Amino acid sequence: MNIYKFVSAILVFILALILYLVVRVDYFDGVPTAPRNTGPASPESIVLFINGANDSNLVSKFSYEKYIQNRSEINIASLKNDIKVIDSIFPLNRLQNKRILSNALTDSLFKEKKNLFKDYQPDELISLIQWAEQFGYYANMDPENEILFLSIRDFWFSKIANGLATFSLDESSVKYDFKFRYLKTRLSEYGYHFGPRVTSLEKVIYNLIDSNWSHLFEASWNQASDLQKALFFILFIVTIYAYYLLLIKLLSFRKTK
Amino acid sequence: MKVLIFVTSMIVASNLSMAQTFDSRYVQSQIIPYEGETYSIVDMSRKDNRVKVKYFAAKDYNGTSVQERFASWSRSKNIILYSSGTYMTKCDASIALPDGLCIDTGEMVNNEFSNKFGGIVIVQATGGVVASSLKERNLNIVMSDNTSKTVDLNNSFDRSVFYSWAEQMDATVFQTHLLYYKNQSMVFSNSSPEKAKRRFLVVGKDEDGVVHHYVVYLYADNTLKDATDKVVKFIKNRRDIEDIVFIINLDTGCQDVYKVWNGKGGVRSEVEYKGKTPFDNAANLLVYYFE
Repeated sequence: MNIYKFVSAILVFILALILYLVVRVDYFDGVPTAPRNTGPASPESIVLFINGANDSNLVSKFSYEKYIQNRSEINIASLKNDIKVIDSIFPLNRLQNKRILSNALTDSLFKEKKNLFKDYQPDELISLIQWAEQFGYYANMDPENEILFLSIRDFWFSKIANGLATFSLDESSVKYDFKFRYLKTRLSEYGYHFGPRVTSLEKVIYNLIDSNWSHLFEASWNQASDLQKALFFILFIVTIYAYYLLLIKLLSFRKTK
Repeated sequence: MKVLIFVTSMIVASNLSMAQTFDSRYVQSQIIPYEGETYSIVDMSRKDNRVKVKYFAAKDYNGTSVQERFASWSRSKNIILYSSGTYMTKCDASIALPDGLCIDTGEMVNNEFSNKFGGIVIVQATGGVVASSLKERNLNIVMSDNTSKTVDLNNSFDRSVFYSWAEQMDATVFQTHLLYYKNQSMVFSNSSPEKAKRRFLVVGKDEDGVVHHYVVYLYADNTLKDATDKVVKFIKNRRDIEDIVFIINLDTGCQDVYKVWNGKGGVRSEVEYKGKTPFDNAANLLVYYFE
């Protein structure tokens, strides 16, 4: 009876552990609401940030940080106005003008927002996706500036995808959180796919489910140290010996019967 | 009777064309022991542009699988080998997608510009392949009007320009680990200690300036760093290649697909020329063929 109690206790412990691993996942599904489009903003003119640059040195002389700091809210109305003004000053270099604005709303803006990517903050990342995806709609409606708008969306979506991949590297269980999966799905809608980190235990489970026995064995064997291989061998021998003893007992029990 | 002879000869002719024959002056496959390791190599000379590359990155927008695409494309081709290409987002080939930026014949497959991979590989519609280091920030592309442009793929504006170029030129592009570039190792000494069988694509120039592509399979388990160092030494000493243009990693994890033909109508049956994963589970394919 004692052995049965012991085995039952082990099974209860394993079930409790599985239950704990399942319930500790964050299932909360309240996501931030998407921002409303506000009316035209009236920031300082983009001319103030050109710093007397000319066609050949505009990219290097433009004051990206001051431009970003001056625009507390970046919306399509202010952006289109900026494009119009800078194109009127440098009409022969429209592609370069778009590059300026792209650099401002990507690399320069990232310096303001880089704290969002230090720790896993799903609500902030959801808000960022909601902001960045609007540039895709602007691109659809304004083909002339499509390259500018898509570059902005691409930058932020790639940053978020890379960020999520990194967070799953630091804490593998985060990929089971509802908001992580929501973010991953939202990115997938736009064709941004990434593979979250999979732990060795999860690989074993996936290979068990898929019945990849040869890969399971080979991968486990390749990663095991010499000590682990020796322990595995001893355990294997002990298991075979236990089955042998059980068989002997069973046969002798049948004979006496 | 005449009809029967005609039909039989057509069947024989079609079988011959499927027999995968190629000139041994351009393609050689060997298993070579060297300094305690065994290397299986397929040496392909790009002289006269007879050896070409095709990459199937993923299922196409119609949902046609890589296997079906390969089957219909390869009917009139002399295949030298196929191998798994870059890494995938999952191990299940039916739902997996290429990890990192990927464009297949001008169509975007994965928009995600990953910071995990330092190499970008472009398979040209003409059958060539080039690789570039993203750290260098100077990828050269030739536009449709034959003008040359240098782009930094780390800059999202330049990436948008690059995507337009790839769409116009039907280019195939993927990201992967760049292990060796312009005769310098790109693998850090503190890289992953995980050991596994390693398969690399090595591109180098011989003393006559002829470009060679080698698919090298290091069958024993090695870390990525050790395998790179060993393969570099092997290529330099046993193939007399001093100028190694680049080395990229080919996936031998979840989708270890590999098959090599012997050029006489048969397949190399040695274990060093076979992958562990069945062809049906391939999520992408790097294919070399002979014309």
